Amino acid sequence: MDILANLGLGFATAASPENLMYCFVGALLGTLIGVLPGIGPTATIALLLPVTFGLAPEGALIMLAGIYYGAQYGGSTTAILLNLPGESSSAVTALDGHAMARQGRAGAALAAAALSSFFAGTVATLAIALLAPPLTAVALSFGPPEYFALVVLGLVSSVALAQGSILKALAMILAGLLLGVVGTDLYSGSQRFTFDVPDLANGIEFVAVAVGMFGISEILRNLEDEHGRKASVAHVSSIVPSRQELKDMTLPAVRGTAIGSFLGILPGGGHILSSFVSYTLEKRMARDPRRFGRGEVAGVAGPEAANNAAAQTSFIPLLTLGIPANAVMAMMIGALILQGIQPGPNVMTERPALFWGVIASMWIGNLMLVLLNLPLIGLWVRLLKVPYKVLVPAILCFSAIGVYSINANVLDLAAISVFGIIGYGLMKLDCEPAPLLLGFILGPMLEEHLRRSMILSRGDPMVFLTHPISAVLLAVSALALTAVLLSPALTRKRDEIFQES
Amino acid sequence: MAEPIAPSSHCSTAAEFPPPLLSREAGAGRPAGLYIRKPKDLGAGIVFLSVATFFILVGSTSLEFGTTFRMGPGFFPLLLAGLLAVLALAIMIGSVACGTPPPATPIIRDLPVRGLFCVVLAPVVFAFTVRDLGFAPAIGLAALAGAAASRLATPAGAIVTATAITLFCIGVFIYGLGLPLPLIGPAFG
Repeated sequence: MDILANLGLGFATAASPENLMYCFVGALLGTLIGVLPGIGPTATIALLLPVTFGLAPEGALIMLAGIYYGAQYGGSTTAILLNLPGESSSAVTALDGHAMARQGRAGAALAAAALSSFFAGTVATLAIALLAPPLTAVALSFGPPEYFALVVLGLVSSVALAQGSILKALAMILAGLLLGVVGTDLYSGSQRFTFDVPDLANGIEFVAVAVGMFGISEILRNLEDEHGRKASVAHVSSIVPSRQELKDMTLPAVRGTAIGSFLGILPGGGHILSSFVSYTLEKRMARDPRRFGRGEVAGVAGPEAANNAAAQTSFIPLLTLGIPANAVMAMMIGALILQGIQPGPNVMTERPALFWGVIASMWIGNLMLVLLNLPLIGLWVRLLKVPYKVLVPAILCFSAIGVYSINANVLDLAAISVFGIIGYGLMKLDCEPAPLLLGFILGPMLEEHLRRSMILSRGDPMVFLTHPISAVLLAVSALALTAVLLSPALTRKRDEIFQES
Repeated sequence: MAEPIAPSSHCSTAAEFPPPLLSREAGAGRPAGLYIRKPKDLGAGIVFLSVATFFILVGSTSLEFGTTFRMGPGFFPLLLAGLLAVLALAIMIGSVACGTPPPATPIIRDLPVRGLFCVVLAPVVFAFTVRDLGFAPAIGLAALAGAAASRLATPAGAIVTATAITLFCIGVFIYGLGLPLPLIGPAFG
C-alpha cells in the first residue's frame, strides 16, 4: 500500500543520525521553553529561523516541529507540578493536574499527560499520513481563484475560532496584509511604501516582526508584574499510574485525540482551543462533573491528548496546501521560504523525503518526549528557579544575533524594537498579534493569487463565484464570519469555552 | 478613563437628531449621554484608522491604482486600507454606547517604563555597535541593557548576568555555530 511505502521513506529519512539529532534538539528545546513561562514556541521558532538557514530543509523542519509539540509536553509538566502553565494550552491541564499533584498523585498526572499525548501523537501522525495525499491531490487541481479563496478562508477562520474580538482580529489581519505590501511590487517593479529606504526594498524582515511581536512584547508584558515565582513544587513519587487510572484515562484520551485532530486542521483552531474544548467535553460527559478541578484524571488526559493531536495535525494545511493554520505554522512557511522551497501541494511530489520525513519525525519526537520528560523532571523544575530577569537579556541577545545574522542589517534590528513596542501596545488594547503575523506572511500570496485570477478572468471579479470550489470556500468564509459576528449564542459559546477555567 | 464624550447631551432617538444640548436626566449624579464603553476598542480603532489613513494617503499619491484587469501596484494596498478604515470605524462605533457610564477603570496599569526603555534599547544598541566595536562589546552592551530591564535587577547582578550571557553567546554563536562576525571591531584597531 502506498501509505506504507511513504511512511517507510519518512522513517528512513527521519531516522538518519543527523535528523535524529535535530529531532532530539528540537524536542529538548521545545520542552525547555514549554517549561519556562514567558517564552513560547512562536518566539523560539522565530529566533531559530536564521539558524535553520544553514541546515538541510529536512533537519530544519524536523527541529522546528520538535520545538512545537515539545512545548506542549513541557507546558503540561509545569502546569501539573507547579500550577504554572508554561503554555496557554496547558492552562486546563493545570486545573486537575495540579489538584492531583496536591493529592500526592503528581506522578500519575504526569504519566497521564505523557501517555495520552503519545497516543494522540501516534494517531495524529497516522491521520496526517492518510489525509495528506488526497488533500494534496485536490489542491494540485486548484487554480489562482481557488487559492485566493482558500487563503481568505484560512485567514477568516483563524479569527473565527480564536479568542477575543473578531473585528479587532480582522483588523489585525488587514494590518498584517498591509505591512506585507511594503517592499517592491513584483509585477511593476515599483517601490511600495519604502520611502526610498534601500533596506526596505525586500520588505520588512519577517523574522524581526515575529520576534518583536511575540518575543519582545511578551517580555514587556511579563515585566509589568514581577513578583518572584514562589511556587511550591509538588513532590513526584511514583510515575506508574494505577490500573484504575489507566482505565480512566483511555476514553478521554481517545476523545481528546479526535477533538484535537479535527480542530488542529482548521486554521485558528489549534492546540489552545482543542484543550479547552476537550476539557469542557470531558466535564459534560463525566458521571460526576463536580470532581473536575479536584483531581480528575480525565481532566488531564483529554486536554493533553487534544493539544498534542492539534499541534501535529496543524501541519496538514501547511504541508498539503501551503496555508498556515496558526502563527507557528506561519513560521514554518518562513523556514521553507528561507530554504528556497515554495510551500504548497508541490512539496509532497517534489520533495517526498522532506514531506514524509517531517511526518515520521513527529512520531519519533513524541517517543523521545515520553522518554525524556519523565526522568528529566527534576531538571525542568530546577530550571524554573532561574529568575526572569536573567532570561530577559538572554532572549534579547539571541533575538538580536539571530536577526542580524540574516542580513547584517541594522534596520532589521530596529524593526525588532519597533514591532516589540507595537505588539505590546496592541496587546494592551486587547488585539491579538497572531492574526497580524498570519496576514503579514500570507499577504504576498493573497495578492499574487488575486492578480493572477484577475488576469485570467480579464478583470472580472465574478470569477471567484463562477469557479465552484472558490465559490464554496468563499461562501464558507462568509458564513463563518457572519455566524460568529451575528450570533450572540455562538459568541457566548466561544467565550464560555475560554472562561471555563 | 471612561468619560462621557458630550456630558450635556442626551442620547436621543433618531427622531430627536441632532440631540438637545441640555439634558434634564442624569442618573446617579452622572449625566446620561454618549460614553466610551470600551476604551481599549476605541484606542484600537484609532490606531487602525491611522494606519489605514497612512496607507491611503501614501498609496494614492505615489502608486497607480489600475483596473481590475490590470491591477496597478496601488490596487491591493488601497483596497486593504479601505477595508481597514471601515473596520476601524466599526470598532470605534462599537466602543461607545448610550447610557450611564460605569465607574472608570484605568487601562494602563503597571507600565514597565524602565523595562520598556531597556528592552527597546538592547537590539538597537547591538545594531549600532556591532560593526564598529565588534561582536563581544556589542553583545555585552545589549546584555547589560537587557539585564537592567527588570525592576528586580541590581547593578552587580546585572553586570554578572550580562557577562555570563556575553560569554555564552560568544561560545555558542561564534565558536559553536561559526557566525562570521569579528569579536573585536575596527574601533579598537
